[in-house]
Amino acid sequence: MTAFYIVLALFAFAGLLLAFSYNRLVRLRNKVAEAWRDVDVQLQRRHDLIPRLVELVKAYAAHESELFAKLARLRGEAEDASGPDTKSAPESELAAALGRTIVVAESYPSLRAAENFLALQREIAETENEVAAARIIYNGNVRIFNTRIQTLPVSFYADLLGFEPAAFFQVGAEGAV
Amino acid sequence: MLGEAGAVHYAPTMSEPDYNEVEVEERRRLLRSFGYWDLVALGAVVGAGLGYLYGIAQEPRQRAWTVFGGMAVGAVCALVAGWARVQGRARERFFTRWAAERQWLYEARGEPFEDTLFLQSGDKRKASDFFSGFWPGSGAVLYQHKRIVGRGDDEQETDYVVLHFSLRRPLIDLLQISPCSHAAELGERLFGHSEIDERIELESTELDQHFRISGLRGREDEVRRLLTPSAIVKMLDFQRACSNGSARFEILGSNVAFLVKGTLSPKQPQLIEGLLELWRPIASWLMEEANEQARLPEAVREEGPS
Repeated sequence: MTAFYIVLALFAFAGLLLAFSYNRLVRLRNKVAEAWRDVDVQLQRRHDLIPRLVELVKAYAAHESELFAKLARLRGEAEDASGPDTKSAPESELAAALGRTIVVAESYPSLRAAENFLALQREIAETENEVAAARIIYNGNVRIFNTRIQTLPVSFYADLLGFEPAAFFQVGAEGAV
Repeated sequence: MLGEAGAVHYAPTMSEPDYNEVEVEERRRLLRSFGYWDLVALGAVVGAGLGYLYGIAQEPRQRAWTVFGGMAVGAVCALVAGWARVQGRARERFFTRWAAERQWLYEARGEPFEDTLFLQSGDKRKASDFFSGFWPGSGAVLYQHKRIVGRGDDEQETDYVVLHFSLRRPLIDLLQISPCSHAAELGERLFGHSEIDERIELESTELDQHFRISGLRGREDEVRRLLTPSAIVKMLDFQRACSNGSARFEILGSNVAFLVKGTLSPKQPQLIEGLLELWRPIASWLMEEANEQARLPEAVREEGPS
């Protein structure tokens, strides 16, 4: 009888540990999702600035139509992509194209001195900073979550409970602006 | 409070003062002064008198011993008091010169700031070693804040180095960022929540692991609006750079206080510069935010950024 109670207590203890562990994993996974939403918001801010920039630069450099078309295409591709793994490539290219557009704009002194361009340039720079910061936070959360589910003892049951490693968000050309 | 009567002004000389030199100079000055030896002699006489009174009911031989003993104790007390005076004066002179080299102002004594919740906390508060200056546009004060909890034998003192400054306009009603403590968390769960503040979990797991962020009850949005991703990254950078895990931040309206457990020592003045360097990105960001707010028209400010 005593052995039965000991086994029961052990099972209860193991169940309790599992419940705590599960709750913690759910919390970490939600944090990853929350941080991703933040990245998404900042990326959307970046996308919203592109038409304004194109409109402004077009007035001075209409012949750069190829660059504007590329920007529009990349913006469409980036908006169509939904997760961190699929968004990485188009966002990298978009950031690089955005940087190139700014460089083109800066080669026109009258545009460079225009107040609305300066304001827009400041806004783009701020957005890029926020994108970079949101990405750091997201990747930090992913690192902690992935480490948790890939290390013992959680790695034994994380898969069974439906926890899979999250993808990092890597953007190579960020900070080009 | 600072920069008024009582502050000693030194012109910068571009030469870094050395605390040991200042201390040796002060000691020499003390040993040369007649007043000091008079004090030692007086201490010996008073001690001898007290020794005589103490031994009055005893045998003459024992009485002689108490007189000699009292004389020695009196002289030693006067020597120690003189030594302590040397330390105090050397500290004050060194810090004044050291601050002047950096275009700062030093005051050895002053009233502690009590305009944020943590600075108000504790049964008693004391302050010393005020350094003021640092940022153009908004003067800041760095000082030593002693928080005393309990009374009598149960008294517990904690020393903090505080950087205090005021923003151009109130930024947020209340924001407290304190070191994460499991004991405090457990206490809160067991004994209920505080009436004033509420823990706010931001999107960064790492930030939550190191800091407890709290704001006014029901005003979570205000905190979230202020702590943007770039602000969170600044906090994380600070946490990585700061080896002392006791750093806390507090904003109450336009008053900002950064605190870290520790004491200011003239033997390690570089600690002051190190702390300022650590706090600078966050302080600059807060000042910029407040300036930005000040530039916004009243209607937009009330609405808040979308």
